[in-house]
Amino acid sequence: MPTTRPDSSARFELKANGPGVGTLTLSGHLDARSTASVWKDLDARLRHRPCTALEVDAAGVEYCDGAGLALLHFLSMGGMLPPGGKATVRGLRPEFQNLYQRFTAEDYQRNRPQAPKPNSVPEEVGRAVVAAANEIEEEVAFIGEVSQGLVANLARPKAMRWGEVLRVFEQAGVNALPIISLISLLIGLIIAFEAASPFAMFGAQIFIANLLGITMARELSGLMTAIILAGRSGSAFAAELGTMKVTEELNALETFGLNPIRFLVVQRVLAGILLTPLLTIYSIFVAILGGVLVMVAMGFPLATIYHQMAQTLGYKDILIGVGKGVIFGALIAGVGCLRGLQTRQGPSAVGESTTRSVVTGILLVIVADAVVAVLLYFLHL
Amino acid sequence: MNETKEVVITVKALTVGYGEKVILEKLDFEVRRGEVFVILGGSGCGKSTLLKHMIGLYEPMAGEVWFGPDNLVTAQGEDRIRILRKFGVMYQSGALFGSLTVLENVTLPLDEFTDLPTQAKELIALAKLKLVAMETAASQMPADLSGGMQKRAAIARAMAMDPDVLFFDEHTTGLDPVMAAELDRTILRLREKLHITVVVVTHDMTSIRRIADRGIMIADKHIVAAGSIREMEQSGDARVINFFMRQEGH
Repeated sequence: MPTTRPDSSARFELKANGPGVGTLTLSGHLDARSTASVWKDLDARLRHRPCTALEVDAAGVEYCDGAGLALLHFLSMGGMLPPGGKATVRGLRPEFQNLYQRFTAEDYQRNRPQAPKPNSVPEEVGRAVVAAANEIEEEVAFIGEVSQGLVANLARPKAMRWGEVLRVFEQAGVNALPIISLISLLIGLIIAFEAASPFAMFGAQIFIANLLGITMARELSGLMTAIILAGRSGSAFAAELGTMKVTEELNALETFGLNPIRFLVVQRVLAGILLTPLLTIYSIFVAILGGVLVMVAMGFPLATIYHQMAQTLGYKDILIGVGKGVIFGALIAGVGCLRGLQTRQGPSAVGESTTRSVVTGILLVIVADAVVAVLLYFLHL
Repeated sequence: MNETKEVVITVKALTVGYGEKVILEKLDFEVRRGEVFVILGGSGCGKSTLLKHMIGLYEPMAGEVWFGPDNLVTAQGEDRIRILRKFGVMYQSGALFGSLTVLENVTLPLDEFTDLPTQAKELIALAKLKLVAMETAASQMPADLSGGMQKRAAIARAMAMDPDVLFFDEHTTGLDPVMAAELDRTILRLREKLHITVVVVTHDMTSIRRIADRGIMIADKHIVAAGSIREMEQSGDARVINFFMRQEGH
């Protein structure tokens, strides 16, 4: 390659020497810019006037970089000629000839990217079924390992690493209080405001207290807390464990003879099981406070609101909310950790794991909530 | 190397640092066409920082970096892009894009900066990959390659636009001696075949002895030795003598 790269253009001349036989004379500077326009024009000309035998005279080429060499290779492979057409390149300066000869048509044919073969529908279905079965198998094995690890660590409390449980409890629980307070308060306010108008038509605005107590305690507080935790803490667990997997920290644990599930996952799942019900109770009270503020603003005395709520809201309802919190906490922490452990290699792997942990976490929480709702209906609770 | 060779990079009174902290002060040196120029120094001396300033990733506190007639430090917009296209960089880890195949990594700059048809870009990319003996891995993903292969593919990507200068940041880090030697041979082959200018940041003495024509050594914010390796070794500066002795295990 020459030592300077002047800004000049490339030129070409196409001459017919007989039927289907031609000479192409290339000259000037074949760089990425000029080659692009020569390539386009030449392709159009050769389509218009096909040559089955083309002689390429490159003696006038003063500069030729990778793009120029690509044009010469493409011509010599018969790229712009009809099927069976042949082109020969001659006259190239020795410094370009040397580079030109290092790469051959065979190199291109052998290594060029091949379009992937499309799979048939049965093949796709088969793959999806196998993937789903593997996923279920992995999840069942994970649940088993975590349950076993939880029981084993609780039976031998020294093995639990309580410091880690407390750290996770603080990060995922205590630090989530401000966002849970704000969202719960606003949800309480929204429910009270939305119910006020329809209830007023029947002179039943006092029943806003009943609505608030039941919906928040039995349903919304638990669900809302779980969704916040899935987005905030489940994703954090997946990212933390995923990064540890990518940086081979998990391999290091295993080579020490430490089981990552007992060492890292059990603590997070236990913290999730403990903190979600507590956050749910907290959310119930803050949401009720939000609704009560609206009712007080409507002119209801506090004592009246309290008595009205006490008539319908019992310990049973709070316990149902707390029970759901335990299930949701285990699901979110478990899914977050599982997705973290499933992290593959590559720069986008941790991001994929966190996204999957949030999506699966929320999905499982809703499914679990639906199952619990059906059970409670049949148990008359 | 011949003193009369054309200068391709001129660094003038370059002072660099982070915030208030000065890392390197008033550096002056030149890189000539077709040479392998090494920037030496112990860990933390600021040699990678110097490279990042030379390639325009960071703005210096003061000074100039000239690529031929163009000052990269003051260039803006299209001018800056034109200067950036004069060089390619191979980062320590290879920095291949993990979501693209090796071939797509190499064609990426061609896709962005040229109007060439797909076949032309594939031909250019495969030819560059062949220069570093990586053409058979064109369809593979970077994650499937060894560290040495990733680095060679990164060299092919850095050469995609036929730059005048190639920068290498600690190219032998993380490689076994056989792979490191292979990469050094690749650098020399590129210099020989493409007459390319190479700037290498390293503290690997084995590699330095294999590839370097000239260089500078940095210590205590300044250039403490310059010239060929032999000239640097003969420097009376205790820091240079210590560096060479330490790196070679004496």
